[in-house]
Amino acid sequence: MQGILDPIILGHNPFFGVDHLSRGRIPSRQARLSNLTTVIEQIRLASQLGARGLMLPSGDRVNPLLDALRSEPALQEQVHIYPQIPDAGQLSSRATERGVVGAVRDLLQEAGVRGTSAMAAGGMQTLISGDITRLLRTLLDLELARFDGFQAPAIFLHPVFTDLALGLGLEMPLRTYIDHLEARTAMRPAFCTLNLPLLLARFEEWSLEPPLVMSAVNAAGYRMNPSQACCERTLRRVDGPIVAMMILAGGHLSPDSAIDYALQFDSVQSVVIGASTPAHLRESCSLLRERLTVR
Amino acid sequence: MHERSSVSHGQDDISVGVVGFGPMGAMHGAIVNAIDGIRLGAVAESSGTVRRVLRSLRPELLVVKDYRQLLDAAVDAVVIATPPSTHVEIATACAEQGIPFLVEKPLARTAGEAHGLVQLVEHSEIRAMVGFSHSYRPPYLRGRQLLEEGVIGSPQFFHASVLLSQVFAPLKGWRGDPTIAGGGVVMTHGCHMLSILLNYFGTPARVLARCQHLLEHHVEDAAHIVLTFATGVEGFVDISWSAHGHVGFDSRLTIHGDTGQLDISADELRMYVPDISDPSREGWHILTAPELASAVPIDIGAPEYARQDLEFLQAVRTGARLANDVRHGYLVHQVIDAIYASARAGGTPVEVEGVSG
Repeated sequence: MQGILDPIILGHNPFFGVDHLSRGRIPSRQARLSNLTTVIEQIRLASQLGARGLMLPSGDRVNPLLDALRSEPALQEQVHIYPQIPDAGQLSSRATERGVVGAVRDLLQEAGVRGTSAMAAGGMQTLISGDITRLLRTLLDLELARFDGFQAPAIFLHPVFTDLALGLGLEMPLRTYIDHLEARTAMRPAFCTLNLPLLLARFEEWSLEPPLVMSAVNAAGYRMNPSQACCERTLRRVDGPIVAMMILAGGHLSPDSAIDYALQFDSVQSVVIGASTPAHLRESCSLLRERLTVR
Repeated sequence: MHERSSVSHGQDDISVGVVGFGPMGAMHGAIVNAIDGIRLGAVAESSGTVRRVLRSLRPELLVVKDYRQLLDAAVDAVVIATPPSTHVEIATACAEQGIPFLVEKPLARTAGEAHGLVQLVEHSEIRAMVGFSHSYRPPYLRGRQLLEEGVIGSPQFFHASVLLSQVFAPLKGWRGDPTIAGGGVVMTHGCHMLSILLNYFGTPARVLARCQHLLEHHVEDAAHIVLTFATGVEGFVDISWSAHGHVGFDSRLTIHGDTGQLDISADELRMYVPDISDPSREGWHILTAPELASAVPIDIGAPEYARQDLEFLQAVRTGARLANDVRHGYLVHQVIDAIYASARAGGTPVEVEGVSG
């Protein structure tokens, strides 16, 4: 059985030094959120304000935060995590340097060192045999192992991998991702994309059910491709569920108008909010609770 | 029914072949395959495992080991996304067959290596582009436009930086091998900024540079450059892939003109215009990425790749000239060669040679 989507999800970018609009703001944000105690307090505050969802990246960089959450069982119990897998930056960098096969081999070897040696060994065998379906399942299991012990209603495929598969027309990896998660976990298979209309067109072409999608939804049209108008038509046409991200267009828009814009679409059932300061968090949660109540 | 978006292909499609199916090759393949009227027609990849996987995923796609087989497969254009040591050979084969190509940066390992290729391309008049994708970031595109419009008057001096938190241990793959990569951070990342500077300021004249080797490999990790253009514009460029505290490709360029200042980064553009004739325009004007950006047919990781590929494919269709053509890539290489020569000589000034022929 798949979990219910949280209407407000706390975005992870400020915790990991990501700013979609300005790299110049990163040092000041990192100074505020550089220690885990501050980040945990921000997550606790968000939970108290009704934002129980927490988007998280994958890769080794998230491990200290996961460990810190595990050390707070009450908070861990309250929070619903939404992992975004895999760590695209690390994989891309390794694949450029060592080749795609070398990057996968490295991942499997490191997984073996971390104590998931049986899975890693199985992955090595599938890498050698070229059984891509089994290899993808193994890589997925290794990703999921990182989030053991957490409530995760859905897991999102990173936009680079979603959009790469969409562009290349690769149905099988996306179908394997869906089938494996549905068969093995209670997590809902979900997709992050910067090309919402293309994703829905491909899924229809491949006779796949419209999935849970996270995509850019903002009045500036920022990262809404192939055009804001096309994305708006799609958002009006589909039943959802859509998770709206980048609603502030990286801080370019005011929270008030940004939330109104995102929630005008009935398909938008959840909103990812930033949390660079407690004041910012309070304002966004308050506005969202108010708008969601009257919806 | 969902709105269909860039899925169908017609008989008049341009068929694109991709040589090298690593992350960059796959990304270019995905972009071209999602643009109306374009399709990914063939892939050449040296890894047998990748070929086997790709054939199982896309049985109708021609997947070959040798790029020569790909060129024989009636592709209309080629993207070359292999390591730099192979670029000139593959690009030359494309040019000899009259096939337009987009080659990932850098064009070659040295300017000398690319000289014959540039002459061949210019003689054959095929459209050929070097993948300096960073110049397709909206703030840099707008910056060039504002500079050409004279918004800050005549440029006087500049300072630029390209800083990444990427390499903190010796490189083990081809990027740490100068016989394959041609160089280190200047070649791999700094070339983007050098390309932008050449597009902004024209012909480079002189270089004074020092390179730092911070780690136990055979390529440079940082460089400090003074670059002078034929117009007299001069500035500093700092480049490192071993700088802590940076997320992604952190580039900045400040240009001081005689009537204003442009401050450009990958994410925004700030402009100081002390226009006394129009007080409403005086002061700092900030344009952020959402204000500058436009949508693309498909966004994979960053929209500048699609913008770049669209310009290339438009040139393939119409014969339009390309800003970052092989002549431009060659000039960038001449600057890089001068940087390395200056660094080897302990930081003495080196003239950037003009292109012969």
